[in-house]
Amino acid sequence: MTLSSTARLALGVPDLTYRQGLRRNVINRMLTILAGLFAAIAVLPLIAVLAYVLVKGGGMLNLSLFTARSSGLPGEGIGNAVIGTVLVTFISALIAIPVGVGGGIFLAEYSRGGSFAQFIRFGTNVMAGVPSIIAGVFVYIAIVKTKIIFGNSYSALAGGIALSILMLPTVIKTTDEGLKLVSDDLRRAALGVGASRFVTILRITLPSAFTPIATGVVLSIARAAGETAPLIFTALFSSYWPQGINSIFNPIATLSVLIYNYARLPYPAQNELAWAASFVLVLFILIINLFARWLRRFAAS
Amino acid sequence: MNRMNDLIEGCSLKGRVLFDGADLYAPSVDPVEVRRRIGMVFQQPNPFPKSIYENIAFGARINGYTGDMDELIERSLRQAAVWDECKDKLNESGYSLSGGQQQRLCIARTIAIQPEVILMDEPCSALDPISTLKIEETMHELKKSFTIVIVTHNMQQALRVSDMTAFFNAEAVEGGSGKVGYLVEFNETDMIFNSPSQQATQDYVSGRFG
Repeated sequence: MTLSSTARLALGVPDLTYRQGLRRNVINRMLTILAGLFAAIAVLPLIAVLAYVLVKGGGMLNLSLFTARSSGLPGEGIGNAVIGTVLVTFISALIAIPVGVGGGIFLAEYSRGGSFAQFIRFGTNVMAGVPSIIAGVFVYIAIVKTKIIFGNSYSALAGGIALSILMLPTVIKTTDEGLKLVSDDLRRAALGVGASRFVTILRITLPSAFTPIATGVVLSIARAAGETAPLIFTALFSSYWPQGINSIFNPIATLSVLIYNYARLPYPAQNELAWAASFVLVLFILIINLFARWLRRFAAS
Repeated sequence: MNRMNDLIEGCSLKGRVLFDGADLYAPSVDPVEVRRRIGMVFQQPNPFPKSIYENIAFGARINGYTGDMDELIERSLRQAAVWDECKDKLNESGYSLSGGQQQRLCIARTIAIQPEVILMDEPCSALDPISTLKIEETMHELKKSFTIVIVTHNMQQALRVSDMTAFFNAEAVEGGSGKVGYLVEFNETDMIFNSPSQQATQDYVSGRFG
């Protein structure tokens, strides 16, 4: 039976107040608390790690840290490792960016979804999940052991190649996805005014997709900069300052390997240095990430 | 007609398209060469995400234009009847214009490469009647110096802007995927609309189907 309007009037003002004891309200509150709790647990390690590194490493920070090398003697610093990390990351970016962006361009612009392109896409996805130590072993066997680079075994170059293998999938994928986002209208417009395919890609499509590509590249650099496993047996370690151009053919210190080496030592002085290096490395990666964010916002405006 | 259908996968065609005696679909033809001679205006306004100035300069530059760029841009924009609206904001993005202005910018971009033929694929289908009117006025102006091939679903528009009209129809064929287009009739616009020779054309222009 439906209530007529007169019958509803007779019932008076309806009671719409929130009742705490109601079953659905109790469950609602419980689940909200539960979800909040899990969210807090999820970010706890993140905050704990950052806070620990900040407290332990931040206190260690001073200028002499960057002006001294990791000599193993009293008063040593991490200056050479900072330069080494920058150098090795730079080498890997130099290899991975042209190859990765080129591969992405092929996938998005030239391949018409053929079996070769699908194979590359699949391979890229698999490569993105390959543990970083595999890349290290590969470069160790292929480059370090064979001494293929002018008879040098462990070198900054080998380390850079190992890192570039890790960067490649991300760069290829972000380029591919970024270019796919560019509207086909734009490509047609460029081709319609008589642009060749190459000019279209270089002058119209790539600039339009610059932000997603650049963001992906920067994030992949941030990932590579923090890698340790592939560097342990490619770039190895060195307690000396990198010397000129030759330094890329010689073993080189990096922050991550310095942390690995020094944190295991039984001496408190070296352990403290490892903390300081951790702090610097975290800061380094944080800055790269902030740069990526800024890049995204810069292009959006 | 300017080989844009190369971009569509699985597109096939029979017959020839002759352009000053050259077969545009001959295997040895470079589509880029074709497109430099036959400009195209698309259904949707599609300016480049660059300034108005660069939008026009882009095509001219890649086609090896070495003259006075400022002058070319002014002349192209004037011919496309959009100069007055954007002469003060040549450095602003092409997206800052309204739809009708964007479409005229696209026409200016096409004129700037000095094509012999301008192909317009329903240039007004995404526009309001006022903008359509302006584009049509532009076309009347351009008709004096360029050959314009316009595709339209709007019969009044065909009647208003064209001298010659061709009627194309598409039919599904057995065993094929999709429809196959074919030419039904080609004649002077007056003849097509007033005394067409084919029954299908008669039906179409009188609004009995389509």
